[in-house]
Amino acid sequence: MEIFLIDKIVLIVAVFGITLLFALYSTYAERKVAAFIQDRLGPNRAGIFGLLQPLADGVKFFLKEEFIPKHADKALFILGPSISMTTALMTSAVIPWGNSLELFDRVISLQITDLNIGVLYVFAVVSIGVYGIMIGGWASNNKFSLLGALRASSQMISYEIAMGLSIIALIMTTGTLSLGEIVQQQGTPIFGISGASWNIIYQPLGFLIFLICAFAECNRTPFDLPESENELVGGYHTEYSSMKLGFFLFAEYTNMFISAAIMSSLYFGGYNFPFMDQLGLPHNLVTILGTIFLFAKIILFIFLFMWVRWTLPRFRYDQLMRMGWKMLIPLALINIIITGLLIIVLK
Amino acid sequence: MDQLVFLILSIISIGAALAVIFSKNPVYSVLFLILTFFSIAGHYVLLNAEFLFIVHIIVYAGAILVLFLFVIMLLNLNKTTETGKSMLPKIAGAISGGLLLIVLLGAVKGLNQAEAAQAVNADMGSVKNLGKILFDEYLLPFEVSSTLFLSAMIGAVMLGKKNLKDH
Amino acid sequence: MHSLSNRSKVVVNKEMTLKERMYLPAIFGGMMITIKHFFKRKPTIQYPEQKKRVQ
Repeated sequence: MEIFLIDKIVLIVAVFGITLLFALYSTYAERKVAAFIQDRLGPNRAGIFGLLQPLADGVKFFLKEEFIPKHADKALFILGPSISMTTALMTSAVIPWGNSLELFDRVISLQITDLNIGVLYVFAVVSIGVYGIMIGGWASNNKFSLLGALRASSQMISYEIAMGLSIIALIMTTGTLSLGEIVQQQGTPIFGISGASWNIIYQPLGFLIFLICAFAECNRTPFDLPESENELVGGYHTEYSSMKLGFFLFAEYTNMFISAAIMSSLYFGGYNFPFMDQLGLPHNLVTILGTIFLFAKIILFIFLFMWVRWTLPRFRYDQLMRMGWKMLIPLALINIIITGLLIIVLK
Repeated sequence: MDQLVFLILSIISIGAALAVIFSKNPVYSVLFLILTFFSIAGHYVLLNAEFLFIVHIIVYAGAILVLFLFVIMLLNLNKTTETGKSMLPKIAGAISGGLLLIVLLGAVKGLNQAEAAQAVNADMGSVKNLGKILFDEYLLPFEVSSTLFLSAMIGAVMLGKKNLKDH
Repeated sequence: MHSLSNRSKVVVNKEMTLKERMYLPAIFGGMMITIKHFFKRKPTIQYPEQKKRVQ
């Protein structure tokens, strides 16, 4: 029991650290990608290639003046960013970061906890994440913040529906709600290639809907209306300064990392990679390679998020709502019906 | 261990429920209501009903209360806009709440304790069992309630349409 | 008026076809343009270290 606890604590600390590291360097990557796409060089003064830039930014955030507006609701003003950050980090508990390792005569699973309702847990945490933005926006006692918060929450609850419906079609094909099992199933051989029966083959439309909804849930361009600076100054974090603003921005990048991990696990095989069982490598090595592959997939998804951000303009608000309710939800329903029909026909 | 968790959760849920009623600011009321729902969801976990726990959070905390908060923030209710306090809603609330309490007490009193303790096993609240029971034993009530939801949804759409025509 | 850059396009207010209304091909085209710029050589001159002779 104690050994089990130590394993888990080590794993939790590692996952926590890696998530924060990714969020930290996503800010750097975002600036570099933006610069390269716009034919610039981006930050390159702090350290080699500007690699120390995120640390400098972090120090700046900590040292800036803490400012709470006079008429703001103090308790809620502090609660907002805390909720955002907490919910952003909570999802990492159910993501399988790798297969099991065989160390010191025991099997160590690289998943913090394999809930048998893992997919629903992710969904619940995502739906709670709205509160951070809403509370923060309202407590600022500023019209722009309130408008930004209302936009964010209505956008997030609208796109949650389509997201849930696209996951239902996926669950119909996998027959389980546990993320660990969903990833494991994708390791079965297809056409003689082991570890390649990824769900994207069975659910291409579902993945597209999920991807669009993930962009909307993370408040990323083209869905970044909550903080559209030309109409709302800064949206829900207009009044925030110092590390509280840092928490909001950090939560956004953490969300991006986590949703990239979820998309890789649900649709792109998680830690599975083609020919994983046919190379004849020892189990531990395959596990480590799998984790590396998972992180490669995550990095590709994060790059996609940034690539889209620096390519597409922002939607108008009515276009956003029309797309969510009139296009994505019907499409997701059609996807469910097609999936159901195929399951019946093929059985 | 279970007893301790139960005690803590109960204290939080009752305290938060009281805070819902007594806080002056409606936004605080809604936030305490969220806390109440979370602690009640915690009770579901103690009873091995994981699915109910997660659905409770998704539906109540994640969707319905967001809309509550949404409306209250949009209206921006505060002390100055509060309408005159009449006693009638309070009396009506007390009577209906009291009736509910009597019904609950009656239901709990009739419960066979040994039977209730037996029913709680590890697998009872799993998605698989719940799905089997819903689509087998309780298929008719399940379908009836889904048509009820459908009619409510159509009603909401119709109400929205009518408003569009007026303006 | 004659266009100066030879890249002007006449805007037509016609109904969009289904392909156009899906937006996905257009989005993909846009992303191809940005990725081309991503790998382009950057014309930046980093002043204090690099100096370019003014003609």
